[in-house]
Amino acid sequence: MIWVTWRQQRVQILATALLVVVAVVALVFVHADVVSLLPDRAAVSEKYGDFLQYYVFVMLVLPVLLGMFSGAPLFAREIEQGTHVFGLSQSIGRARWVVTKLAVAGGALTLSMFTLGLVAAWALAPAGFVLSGRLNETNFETQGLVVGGYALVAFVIGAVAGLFLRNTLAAMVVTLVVYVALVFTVANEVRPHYAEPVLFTGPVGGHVAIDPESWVTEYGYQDANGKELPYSYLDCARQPGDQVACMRAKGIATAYSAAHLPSQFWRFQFTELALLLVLAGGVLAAGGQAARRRLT
Amino acid sequence: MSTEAGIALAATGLGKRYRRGWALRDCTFELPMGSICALVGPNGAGKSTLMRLVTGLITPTEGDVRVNQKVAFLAQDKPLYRRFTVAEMLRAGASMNPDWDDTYAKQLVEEAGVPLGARIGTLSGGQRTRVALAIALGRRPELIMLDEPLADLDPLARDEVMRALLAEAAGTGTTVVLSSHVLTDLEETCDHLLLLADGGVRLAGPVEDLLAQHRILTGPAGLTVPAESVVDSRTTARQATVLARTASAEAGWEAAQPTLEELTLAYLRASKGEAA
Repeated sequence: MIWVTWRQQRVQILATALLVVVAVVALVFVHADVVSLLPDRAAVSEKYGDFLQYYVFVMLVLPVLLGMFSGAPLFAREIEQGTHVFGLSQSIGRARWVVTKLAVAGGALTLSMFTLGLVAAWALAPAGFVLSGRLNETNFETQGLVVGGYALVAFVIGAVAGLFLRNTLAAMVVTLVVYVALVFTVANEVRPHYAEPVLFTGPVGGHVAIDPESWVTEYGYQDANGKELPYSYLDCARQPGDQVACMRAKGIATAYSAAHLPSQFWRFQFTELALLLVLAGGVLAAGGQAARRRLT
Repeated sequence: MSTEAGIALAATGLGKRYRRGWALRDCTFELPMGSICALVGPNGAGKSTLMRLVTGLITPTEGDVRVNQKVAFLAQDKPLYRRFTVAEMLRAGASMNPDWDDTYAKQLVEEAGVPLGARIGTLSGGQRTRVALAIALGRRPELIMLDEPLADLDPLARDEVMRALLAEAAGTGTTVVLSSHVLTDLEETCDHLLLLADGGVRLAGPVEDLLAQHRILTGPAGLTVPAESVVDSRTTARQATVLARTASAEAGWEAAQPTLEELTLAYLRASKGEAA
């Protein structure tokens, strides 16, 4: 059965592996070059600013593409073509058929992406300052342990959607929608709470000393008693003269920022990986139900 | 679940309900090992549902089906991986069946004259059926279920497939259940009959017994037969033809033993008449 899955999925598996190899080679080269350019940060930013933006974009899109083109057709295409009847009526039985397909196709893909994520975390660590820190959203998802985690979740969503919907195209669409919603929700609603943020405060008009690679999740203004004051820079934009004076006139005494420090990177990576694994497990459990009921 | 000795397949009160209603209900029959059974019925009678229940692809809503040992299933559309070559398809069979007999499967494909390097998607209907059959038999099943195996074949391919199948069944003692629309396919080959209509069993048993229990009666219009034994009757202005469940001739009628085709047609017509 392992061979059958390999034979059916080899295009996706090899394409993913090839892509990862190319990306790894590029990253190793970038790492070496960045290290040789440092400590000249301006030169690194100048040379690799665009590259890193493309890298982040590609790596954000890649897991969902794998979910759509490897996960979604895994069962849905078999059901569409009726070949699941062939698979299910052989001696190995239903459970092994389902599990082997998931394990071989999903395992190969996750392993490739996991490798890529770790290489990326190592290669891009010295260039973290270019895109204002690797804890920031979109930088965080595209390197480290979570790359494999997101690829796994996207794959599992695609495969299970295929089991439920029994239609490849519908499963692809669902994968896209659910995955995008997931990435946004995790980045905006979940990840900021992995740890208590550190609070930085400073007088208005002064400088709030904060590591530029920190991930600022919240900022605002307080009066002299520490009471939160609503303020938008538009409030003072039309006032003639000094903006700081205008803010002081509104009673604003201090500015604060709540931020996660760059040293939290690996802790956050492990936390998010655990979260993604639990999520993948949950989706798979739902898929187990579907495999028993909908796979006929 | 295993069955008592000598029985390949037995169903008791077997039923399957889908959202749209009962596809099969109260289905009870037994099939001895080594028999070749024709599964006959109009579209929607529950033939495919019964096959899928026996194969374990779907679970019964009520009742149970007991199968002696290993079941192979050949679905109506002969599902094979289109992009695989024939050789790869055989390897898939080996990969998915620990009890695979590779020599035997290869021999069946060779006998069919299908090149091993050809892609499944490029095969003709007949070749594809032969490959599917070879893979189904390569597991050395004790029972093989074939859902409309001849439906999309030309008469020559139909004859070849049927002969290959019967030769294997005779040689290995495999029990065969075979559904078909074309009754003449079944006439010479089947020794058992299972007739389904509207999701229920209408007739089941050895063909010889069933034929012996029925008579076609022809006589002048106006003669009557005991109503409870009439399966199907057709009357023209002068003559009545009745298929009746009776072994004895009735007074005034000319009686003849029906052929399998006549018998099944009469039951199918009768079930259609009831439904209408």
